[in-house]
Amino acid sequence: MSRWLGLVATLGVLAGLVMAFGVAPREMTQGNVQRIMYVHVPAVWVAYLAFLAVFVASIMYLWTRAAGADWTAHAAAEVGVVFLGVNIATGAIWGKPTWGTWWTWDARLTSVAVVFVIFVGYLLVRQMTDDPERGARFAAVVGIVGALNIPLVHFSVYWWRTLHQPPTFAKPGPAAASGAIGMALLVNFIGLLLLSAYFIAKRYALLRAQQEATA
Amino acid sequence: MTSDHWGFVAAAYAVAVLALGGYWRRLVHLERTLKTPTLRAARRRGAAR
Amino acid sequence: MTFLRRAWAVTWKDVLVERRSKETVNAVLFFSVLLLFVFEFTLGADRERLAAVLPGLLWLGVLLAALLGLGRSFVLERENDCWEALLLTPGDKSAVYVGKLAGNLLLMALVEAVVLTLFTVFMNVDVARALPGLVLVLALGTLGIAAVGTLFGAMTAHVRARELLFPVLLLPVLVPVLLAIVKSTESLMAGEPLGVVSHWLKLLIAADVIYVVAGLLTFDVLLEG
Repeated sequence: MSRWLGLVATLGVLAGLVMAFGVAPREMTQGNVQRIMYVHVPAVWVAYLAFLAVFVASIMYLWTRAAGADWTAHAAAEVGVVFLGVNIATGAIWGKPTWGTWWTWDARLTSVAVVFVIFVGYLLVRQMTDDPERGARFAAVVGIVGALNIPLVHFSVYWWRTLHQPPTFAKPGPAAASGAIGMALLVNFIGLLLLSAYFIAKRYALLRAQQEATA
Repeated sequence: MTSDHWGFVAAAYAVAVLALGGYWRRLVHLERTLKTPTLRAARRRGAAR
Repeated sequence: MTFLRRAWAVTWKDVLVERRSKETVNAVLFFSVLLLFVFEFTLGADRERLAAVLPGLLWLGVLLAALLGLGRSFVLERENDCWEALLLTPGDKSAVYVGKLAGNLLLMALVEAVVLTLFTVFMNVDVARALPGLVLVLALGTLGIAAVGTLFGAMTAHVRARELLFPVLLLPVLVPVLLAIVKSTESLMAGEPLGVVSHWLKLLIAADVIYVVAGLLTFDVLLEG
C-alpha cells in the first residue's frame, strides 16, 4: 500500500516542479530567485501539519498507551523536523541574494527556528532515554508541551519584532498571489504532503517491525 | 532587470533533494537491516534504534 | 491526606533538606554573584550599552541560575534512592508536582531578590519606580519558568546527559516567556505604565495556565516506573 503512496507522491512532487518552473511566471520584483518559494513555503506547512499529528498522537498515546500512537508520533516528529529543516535551509538560501544576508532574526525565521529546536529536543529525549517505553512517555509529554507552545512562540516573536520597531528588512514573502502562483503553491504543497505521508507511513512500519523483531 | 540568481535557486532545490532524498535513503537502509535475519543484523538493529 | 497537605509535605521536605545542606541555594547564589562580575567585565566599559541591555542581563542571570536550581530539583530523590518513595505517594501524583513547583518557586524568588539587589547596588540601576509592575512581571514569568522546569526536571532526572538535555528542552520552550518578561521589564524600567505591556502580561498568563495545567495532567505519567 505504501508503495502506491510513494508512487503518487513522486508524481505529485514532479507536478510541483513543473508548476514551479514551467507554469509559474517570473516574479516582478525579485526575478526568478522567487521560485525558491515553491519548495520553501509548502515545506513549513507540511512540517506544521506533522507536528499537529505529533500533538494528537502524543495525547492518544498517554491516554490509550497504544504502541501505534507512539509510532505515529515518533514518525511524524522525524518527518516534521526534516521538512522544517528544508524550510529553514531554503529560506536562508533565498535570503542571501534577496536580503544580502543568510540569516535575519525576523519574526517568521525566528519562530520557525525555535519550533525546530523544540522538536529536535523531542527526538533527543527518545534517543537519550535508555528504556524505550519510558522514552515514549517522556517524548509524549515533550510533544504535547512543544506543540501547545507553537502559537505562543509565534505571537511572542511577532510582537517582539513588530511592536515599537519598524521592520528592518522587506520580507520576501509570497508575492501578490496571482492565479498561477497560487496554483503552483497548492500543487507543490500537495506533492510534499503526499511525500510526507509516504515517509511517515514507511517510518511507522519500520518502528512496528523493529518492535516485533525484538519482542 | 533584477538578476535571477539561478545558482541560488539550484542550491535551494539541491538542498531540498539532498535532505528529503537522504531521509528516504535512511528509511531504505533501516528497512534492509531489519529484513536481514542474521545475527549481525540483530546486533545492528539494536544499534539503529 | 488532602491534596494540598500532600503538596505541602513535599515542599516542606525540600525546604528542610535545603536548609540543612544549603547545597543548591549556595551554589545558585554564588553563581549569580559571579555572573555579575562576568557581565561587568564583558559589557561594563560602555555604560550606555550596559544600561540598554540591563533588562536582558537581569533575566539572563535569573534564567541561568534557574537552570542550575531547577535541573537539580529531582536529582536528590534520584541519587538517594528516594524515587520509589515518590511513586508510592498515595493519591494523585500531581500533588507532588505542586509541592515541587512551590519549592522551586521559593528558590527562584530568592534568586530573583538577590539578583535584583545585586544589580541595583553594583550596576546602579534604579528600579524603585518600576517596582510594582516589575514584581508582577517577575511573578508571572517565574511561574512559567518553574512550571515547565519542574515538569522537565522530573523527566531529565532519568536521562543520560541530564545536564545537557534539561537546558536543551527547557530553553526553546521558554522563548515566549523569556521574550515577554524581557520586553516587559524593558518598558517598565524605561518608565512606561503597566498598560503598555498588557499584551505581554496576557501572553504570560496564557503560558502559565497552559504550562501548569499540562504539568498537573502529565506529571504522574513521568513518575511511572
